[in-house]
Amino acid sequence: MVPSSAEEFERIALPHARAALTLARALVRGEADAEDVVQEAFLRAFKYFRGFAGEHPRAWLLSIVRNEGYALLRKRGLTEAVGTFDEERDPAPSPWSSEARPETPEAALLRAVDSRSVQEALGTLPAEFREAVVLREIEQCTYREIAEIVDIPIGTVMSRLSRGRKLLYAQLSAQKGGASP
Amino acid sequence: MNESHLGDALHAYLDNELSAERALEARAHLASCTGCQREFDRIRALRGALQQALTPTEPSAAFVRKLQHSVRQADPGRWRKRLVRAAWAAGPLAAAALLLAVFTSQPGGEASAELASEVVAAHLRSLQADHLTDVASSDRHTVKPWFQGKLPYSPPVLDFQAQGLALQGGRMEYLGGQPVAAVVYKSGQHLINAFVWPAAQQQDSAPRPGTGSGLHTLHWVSDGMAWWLVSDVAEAELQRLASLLRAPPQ
Repeated sequence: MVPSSAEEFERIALPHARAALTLARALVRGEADAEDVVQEAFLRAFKYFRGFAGEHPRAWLLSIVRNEGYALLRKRGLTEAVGTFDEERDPAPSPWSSEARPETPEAALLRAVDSRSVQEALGTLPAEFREAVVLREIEQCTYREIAEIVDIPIGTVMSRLSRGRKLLYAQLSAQKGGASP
Repeated sequence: MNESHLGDALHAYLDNELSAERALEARAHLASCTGCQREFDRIRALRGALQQALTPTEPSAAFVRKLQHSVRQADPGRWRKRLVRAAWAAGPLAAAALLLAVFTSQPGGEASAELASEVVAAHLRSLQADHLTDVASSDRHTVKPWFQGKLPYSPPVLDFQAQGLALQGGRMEYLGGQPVAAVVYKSGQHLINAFVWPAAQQQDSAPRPGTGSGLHTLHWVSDGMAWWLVSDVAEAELQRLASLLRAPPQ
């Protein structure tokens, strides 16, 4: 029997359900919203499936998850328009070059950070930095994959990761500083 | 930041994204620059903290079943397959009659009433929140490339801002059993969906107006492409957009 298009779609898409959930969790708040985003994205992906001619099903699927995630964020009024960050006008803070800070070994500083603080800190980042950092660090996406998912040049992937990590590190050190003066 | 530091390239180095040559340079720089070394340690520590905090969890079996169920519900082939099975169960004669009815009523071509109602439904769906465009831009050089790789053809994307029909963006749509391009235009406060795909018949046809659910539609074939316009604007406005699409101003 010829496999139906639903079976064919599942064969290609289901292996990426975990990555889809990871990205959705990075974008929206709450497990229920994340699952809704993935479900909507799968339906949408299935709708376009016969037109899918690309070689990178994971990137293709994640780009649809991303669109659904942003749609939900907009609906919830939780996001500023993407791309409002102006790197020129609004240069990255450089907490790392602050020589005044007492030198704590970095690993020691972050080792004591619990997972809730990490998630909270991540939540303070604009969505375009959250997604880049999570795709890279959790799903081990290459820059090329992230570029394809987010639809930006590879150079921008690099600068978003650099900026996102700096913001995240600064946020975590600040939390840490506040907790133990 | 000091120009001589690695900057963003340090991240690319740690992510294994530098060419072999540039990675060697970065490594040499790291060996002699305490500032970059500290930064390197911080990125690594951050990575460790992130990976520990956000261990990716496999989706639950229940969630996977939910995904499968919703996809299968949406499978357009599902009803036909069920019908075939039901027909055989009902006996060969009934099966022959039923299958003949089902398969001869199938896709009625690019001008069919069935497709017209799909076009109207797609337009109404697109007006719901966040469904109008997948790529929102008034720049056709942004919208047109977006379709690349998503469709086996390149849909015409034009902007008629000067003529009062501004491009709003594009998205993918599923019509007549195939993915097609939807290009969105705006006339005053009215949105117009233009659906376009390679025509099965090569013969050009003049724009033919229709109505459905209080909307106007306009269908024609030109230059090997089948077009459907749908909107709540007056039919004359659709005709005007059709003329512009058929013969774009230079």
